[in-house]
This record gives sequence, structure tokens and C-alpha cells, in this order.
Amino acid sequence: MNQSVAKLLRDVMPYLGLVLLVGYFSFSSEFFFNARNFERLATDSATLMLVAFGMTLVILIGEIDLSVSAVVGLLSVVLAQMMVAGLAWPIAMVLVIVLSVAIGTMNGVITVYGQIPSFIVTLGMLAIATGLAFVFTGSVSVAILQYDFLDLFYSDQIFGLPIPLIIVTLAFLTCVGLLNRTRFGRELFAVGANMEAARLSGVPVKQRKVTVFAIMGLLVGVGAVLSAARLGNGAPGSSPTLTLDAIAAVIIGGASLFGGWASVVRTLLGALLIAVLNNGMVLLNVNIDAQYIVKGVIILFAVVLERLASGARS
Amino acid sequence: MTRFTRLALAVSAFSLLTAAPAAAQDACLGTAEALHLSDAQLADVIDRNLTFGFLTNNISDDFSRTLVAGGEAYAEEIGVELIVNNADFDANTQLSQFDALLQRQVDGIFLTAVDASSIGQAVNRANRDGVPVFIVGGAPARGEVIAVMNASSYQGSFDAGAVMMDAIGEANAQVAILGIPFALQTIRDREKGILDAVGAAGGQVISMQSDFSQDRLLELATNVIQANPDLKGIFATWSLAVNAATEAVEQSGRDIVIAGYDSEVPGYVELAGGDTNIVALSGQQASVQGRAAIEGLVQSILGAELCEEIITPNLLVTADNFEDSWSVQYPGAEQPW
Repeated sequence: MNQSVAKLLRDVMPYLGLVLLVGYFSFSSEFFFNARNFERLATDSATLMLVAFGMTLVILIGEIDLSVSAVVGLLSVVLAQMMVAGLAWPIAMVLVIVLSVAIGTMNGVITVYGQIPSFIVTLGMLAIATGLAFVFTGSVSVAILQYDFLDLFYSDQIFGLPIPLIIVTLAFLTCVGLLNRTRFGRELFAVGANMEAARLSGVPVKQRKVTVFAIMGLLVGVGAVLSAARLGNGAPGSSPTLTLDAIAAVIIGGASLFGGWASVVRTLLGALLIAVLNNGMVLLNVNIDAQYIVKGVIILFAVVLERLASGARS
Repeated sequence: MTRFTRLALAVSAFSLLTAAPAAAQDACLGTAEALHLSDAQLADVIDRNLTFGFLTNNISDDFSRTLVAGGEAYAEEIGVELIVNNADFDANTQLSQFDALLQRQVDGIFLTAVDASSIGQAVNRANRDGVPVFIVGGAPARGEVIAVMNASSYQGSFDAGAVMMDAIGEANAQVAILGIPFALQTIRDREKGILDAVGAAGGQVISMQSDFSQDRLLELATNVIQANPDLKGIFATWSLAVNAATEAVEQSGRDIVIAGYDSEVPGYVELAGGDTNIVALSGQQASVQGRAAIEGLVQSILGAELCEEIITPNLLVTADNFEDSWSVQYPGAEQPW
């Protein structure tokens, strides 16, 4: 395939793929195209989207975070246990988000100052967080019985919009603004494209990288709160596929796994594509084994296009 | 009102108060057999064009596959459309699938929950939509299900464990448990069953390991065997752990007795082969449960009341009865040995 065609396809694919999928499911199932389904889609995929936004920044600077699923499980457990211990949910929520930022910062500090690949560091954090969640709970999930918390972050609405959707929208606008409208964002692109050149240009590379991991922690923390409210409990290992889905959303959005190029807007499309695909396949009663194949083909297609387009870029 | 009349009224009232719950309990359907549909009910079902959702927590073990196959076969037999989905041990995925089924306006949902306490929010919504939910493993923290279906986890585990301890035949025998890190009451019951069986026989549990994958379980079992030269028995609390324990013991060449919960094809093949360390497997009747899932939902839609818990009995499969057990557990299926 011609490289410029591949680049064009890669640029257009998230939009085209989403439009085609929505069109196909709308015509194939009477249950797909309606406000209630879209509301549930947005609520159900809120955690994925938040984590995917964070992953976009991490991948943009040429790093990766494999600890997300386990950290979300650990945070949800800590949140639930604090509530069970009688702590008011707003305080518990803030503490959990602070803890998450601390974990993200720790990932960043060890990666940057220890000069250890983030792949290894976050793999270690994954194991630690998984183990801690199981130790804290004895492998049994902790039910959250503060129903005002559950309702607020799952079923309540403001101006007719589910609260998780509002949170995702705010996070999305902030990330887009940060990347495209600030010096900080431009510096991240520079760090991802050529770290040494960025450093020589005066970009504080190490600080920027640590900051990105801290932002990832913030988004993971908020995602964990939404996940706990959705599940109604804190459960170790409740989201085992979250990390891979988030990476898939970023890749479907056309980001380069080697850093230097990524887009939060396209990541949003990638995450929506995954959510719509999962939802539509259930509505159409697609065979459960075939569902794996469909998802795998789409991700592979996106990666191949990205590789071809990378050639075009270089 | 005379004293006698007041006494008679009081006695009658007391009798009514005490009899009512018992009568209600009697009236509810509490076993897989009791859920069977009559001819009149079957005729009614065909007219209703029912669609059910069938959510499994995974599809990688024989139990889940047999459960789904049992449900699918019976649904097809009675003209019910079945939408099957697998959550791959992901509670978030299962919740999304549950939501999609509500959106699809199914008439009922059966699920083997990844985590029963995670599904409460969705069950709450199903209640509001009037969609009956039938669940395996445990009731959710929020929302009402029509019933919880359980195999006799504790007893099945205890019975198989007792056979294992009997086969070891030593006081203070060292035993390891290989399980699954799963937040379900049924899993905790299995663990309690084997712990009690080992305790009753004067043995000691020296290691409890767990994982979701057979590869990792094999690695864990191999390490446990390596680290404990006096290990006499391994109890596996689910199907893939049975397979892993069998493989690890074979590789070690040691004489370690194996028992477990879940009797599936590999276990039967081992028992049929004769030269095996497996002494007992507690078998859930997955096919029966799959059919009962469909029947339970239909019964609920037709207005019957299901008991809070529906117990399906386990089989204790050994080298002496594996052929008979196979025909009960997998009715109509060809023997794999």
C-alpha cells in the first residue's frame, strides 16, 4: 500500500470506522440508535476513556503504563474499605485520588531517575497493586453501601447528562487544551519525537515525563472512583482488560507506539469505537468466539496502518 | 367473646402466622427438577417468543462450556432465543454486557457472575425494567434476583477431600490447595469444605495458591511440590486447577494424591486411564444447571415463585463410578476415553 494512502487511511480511520460501525449497528438493530443506549455506552466506558486519555499522554512521550488495571482494582478496594470504616465518601474519594497521583508519580520517578524502562517499572507496579488488593480484601470484594455515592457517580444526571459523561467531557477538554494550546503540550510532542533534541532545546525532559505519569495517576484515580461506583464495590482484579483496551484505543486513534505522535481526540474515537463494537455485538447476538476475532482484526488493522503511516511520516 | 373463643382465635392466628412461611417455602420451586416445565407451560412459552440473555463469567473451562451448551440446547428445544456472552473474568465487561441486554429488551437474564456484588447496580436497573434475573453463585448487594442457583459447594468439596485424606491414610499429612482468586461465596465454600475435611482427618494445609490460568496454576503446583518433599495431597478447587495439579504431579513422578472440585473431560480421561493419582472429583451438573437456568426464567415469567436458593446436587466421581457419573453429568455425550 502506498504510504501516503496509508497515512490518509490512518488519519481517517477512527472517524470512518466509528461512522461505519454506528451506521451498521443502527440499521441492523432497532435497539442501538437511541438516547438510552448512548447514555449507557458513555457511562459504561467512562473509566476506559479517562484511562485512555492518560495513556495517550504516556504513549506520546514514548512510555507505557501497564499497571492501570491493577491500580484501578487496588484503588477501588481502598475506597470501599475507607467507606466501610465509616469515612464520608467525599473524603475517601479525595484520598484515593491523591493516592493514585502518588502511584503515578512513583512510576514516573522510578522510570525517569532510575533509568528503567516504564514497561518494567509499571509491570512491577502491576504485580504490587494486584497483590496488595488481594491482601487487603482476602480475595473477597468489598461492597459499597453508601448509596448516595453510587447513585451520584452512576445514575444521577445534571442537565440530563450522566455525571460520568460530564467528568469525561471535562477531562477530554482539559487534555486537548493541555496538548494543543500550551507550551507544556508542545514540549511533550518534542520529548516523544526526539528526547535528546528536546533536552538540548531546553525542555526539562525528566520533569515533563514525571508530570505525565502524575497526570496519568490523576485520571486513573478518577476512573477508579467511577468504576467503583459502577460496580458498587471495591474488587481486586475487577478490570483485567482495562490496560489493553486503553492501549488499543490509543493505537486505533493512530498514535505511534514509539512516541512523538498522538491525539486525544482520536483516542476518544478509538475508545468509542471499542465501546460501540462491544455494545453492538451483544445487541446483534454475535457469537462470543467471533467477537474476539472482530476486535482483534480491527486492532491489527489499526496497528498496520500506523506502521505504514509512520514510514510516510519519516 | 368468651375466654374459649379468644383462646381459639389466638391459636388460629398463631397457627396461621407460623404456617404461612412454611407454606410459602413449600410453594416455591427449590430444585432443578421442580423447575421442569409442564406441557401446558411449554405451549405457552412458544407463543411468547421469549429472548433470554445468558452471561458467563468465562468460557475457558469445561463447566462453563457445558453450562452454556445445556442452556442453548434446551432453549432451542423450547423455542427461546438465547444471547450468550462471556465476560472473561472481567466484572466491568459483564456489567456492559448486562446493560446491552437490558437495552436489547430481553425477557430475562441468567448469569454466572464474575463477582455477585459487582452486578447489583445492573440488577437494580433490571428490576426497574421488570426483567427477571437468575444468578449463579451468590445474591448481589443491591437489587432483587428471582433466585440464586448453587451447587452444593461446601459438601462437594468436603466429600472429595474426605476421600483424598482417606487415600493418604496418614496422620498429620501435608496437603496443598490449588484454587482461583475469585470473589464468590461458592469458591469460599469450596475452600471451607476442603479445610474442614483436612482438619477432620488430622491433616495440615501447608500451602494455598490460586490463579485464573492453567499455565500459572501448573507453575504454582510445580513449585509447591518442589518446595515440600513431604507433600501427600493436592486439592484443586476448580477445573483448570485439577488439570494443572494432575500435570504437575505426573511431571514430578511423586506419589501425591489428588482430589478436586469440578469433574470434567480431562479428569474423566485420567480416571478411565486407570493409572492416575486422582482419587475423587466433585462434579457439578453443569448441563442440568444450564437447562434449569432457562426453566427458572420461564417459570418466573409464567408467575411461579422460585425459592431464594436452588441447589443442584454434586456427583462424587471416582474410579469406581466414573462411567455412570459421565452419563448423569453429560447426558447423551460420547465418552471421551
